[in-house]
Amino acid sequence: MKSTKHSIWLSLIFTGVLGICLLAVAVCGPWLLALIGTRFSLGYMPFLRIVLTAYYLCLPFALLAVFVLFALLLRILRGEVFVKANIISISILSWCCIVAAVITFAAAFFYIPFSLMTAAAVFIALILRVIKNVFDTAVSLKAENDLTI
Amino acid sequence: MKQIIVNLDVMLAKRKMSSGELAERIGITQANLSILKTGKAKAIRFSTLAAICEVLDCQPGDLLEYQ
Repeated sequence: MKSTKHSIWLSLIFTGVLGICLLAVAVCGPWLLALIGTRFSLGYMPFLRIVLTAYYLCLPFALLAVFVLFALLLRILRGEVFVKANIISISILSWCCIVAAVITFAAAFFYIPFSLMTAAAVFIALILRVIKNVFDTAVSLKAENDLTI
Repeated sequence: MKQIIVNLDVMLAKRKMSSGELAERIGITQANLSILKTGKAKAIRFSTLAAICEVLDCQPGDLLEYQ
């Protein structure tokens, strides 16, 4: 139980750091692009612009996912595991992955390595859908168990 | 739609016993006994039913009714 709490705390810290990193890259993105443009060959620039555009398009959904993940971890830390709110959180996370998959799929037409991210996002979204369905069943079972005297 | 009705409060009144005393004697919380009394329960364990029948000196049919 103690190690589980440690694991949740570790996940919370990583989630927080991830959120900060996302914002930091969003703020420094144009500056980084300019820096790379001046230091390296300008041939990279069109690809970097596509990367940055895809990043900014994905950013709101990524931040939403980080926020939802943080809330989900806090609820698990409080011992609220099999509750409806967690199902909604996992569902939102799954939809965020699907949106990211759509954006990276479109970006892959301009920069082919994005197709790897599309595949990863679709795979994670599918896993999250399965976990969501498992949680849904677990919540129903728990409700029935709680009302069995 | 017909359903199972729990007549626990009727039996408690007949035996002149309080809910708190019954909960204590059968070893369940008052909150759970309240769920049973108000008909919110989805199921009842045989062990709980047996304990209630023993304490109230009655049959399961005296507690449960289909109507």
